[in-house]
Amino acid sequence: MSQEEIFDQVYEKYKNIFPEMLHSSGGLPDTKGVATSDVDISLFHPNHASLAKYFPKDTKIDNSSIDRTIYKLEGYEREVNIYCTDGDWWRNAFLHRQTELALNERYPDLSNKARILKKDLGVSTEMAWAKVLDLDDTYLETLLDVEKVLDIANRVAKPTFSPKA
Amino acid sequence: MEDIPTQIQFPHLASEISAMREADQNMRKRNLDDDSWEEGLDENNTKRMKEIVHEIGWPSVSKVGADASRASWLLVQHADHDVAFQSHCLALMQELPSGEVQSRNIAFLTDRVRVNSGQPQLYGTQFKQVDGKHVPKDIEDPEHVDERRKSMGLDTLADNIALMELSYPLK
Repeated sequence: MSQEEIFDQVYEKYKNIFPEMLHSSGGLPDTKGVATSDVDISLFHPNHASLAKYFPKDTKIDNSSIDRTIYKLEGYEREVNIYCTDGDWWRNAFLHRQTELALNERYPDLSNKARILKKDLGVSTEMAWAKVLDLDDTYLETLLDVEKVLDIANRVAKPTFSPKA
Repeated sequence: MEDIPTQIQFPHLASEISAMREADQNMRKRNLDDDSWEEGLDENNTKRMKEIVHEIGWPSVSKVGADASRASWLLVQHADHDVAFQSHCLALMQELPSGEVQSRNIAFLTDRVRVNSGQPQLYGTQFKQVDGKHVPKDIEDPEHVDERRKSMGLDTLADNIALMELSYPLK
């Protein structure tokens, strides 16, 4: 089952409580093998640490960061992580996904490069794209802007013109 | 995990800690540009942090707010001349409930104390330069480092190495 299908299942179950859930999995899934990638979901909530009551009792809770809580839902074909935060960056992973999906669609060769880098180096999807597009250490911010990133990708993908003598 | 009150207990200390952090960071940014170093700044910051910690305990989120709490960690992280104080602060941070201190800051300070004490690090947060590359200092049980990092809210070691390359490119 794909990440999208599992997200739809989760959304259907919780949409009445959390209608603003966003699918924020990375845009280069399953580089380690079939169905190896998690389903990541972003959720804004002012009391992100106090939502356990809405999820099944066997839900694991990661509260290692003070600004977000991860609820790990059991019983799906892939791991499902709901990242809850009250931070204004709560949509960032979702926006990164939109950028990555647009890159996959328009620049499949670059996407293949990013996929190989992600697999070989073991880095995140964002970092793989940062390397392919030669972004600097502000890459997470850059990847929020799909138009800017597509423009960069266009320059990177464009073959260098070398006039014959 | 309990909700953290939005009112902080020591706003005046929060402002002071943030100002100390700014001086710390300005010095380190200048150092990247021109190798300059303000002798005594780290020592003075450590001295003041000792007084603050003695007065209020670890500057946690409810005491000084998330930003100044993080700044406190950064200042102690840079107190390499006083590993005993770093160890003391680490113990105080480890006693606090989640929500009062960032786990990732505990991971960074754990590694710093271990490296400063001649031990291998646990989380791979401390780096050295070898043959023009950023390389993590010795790691205990390296096969499971990413599991430990994940439990502390850190990204993978591979991502950390790649970020070091982007942030501090070596010529």
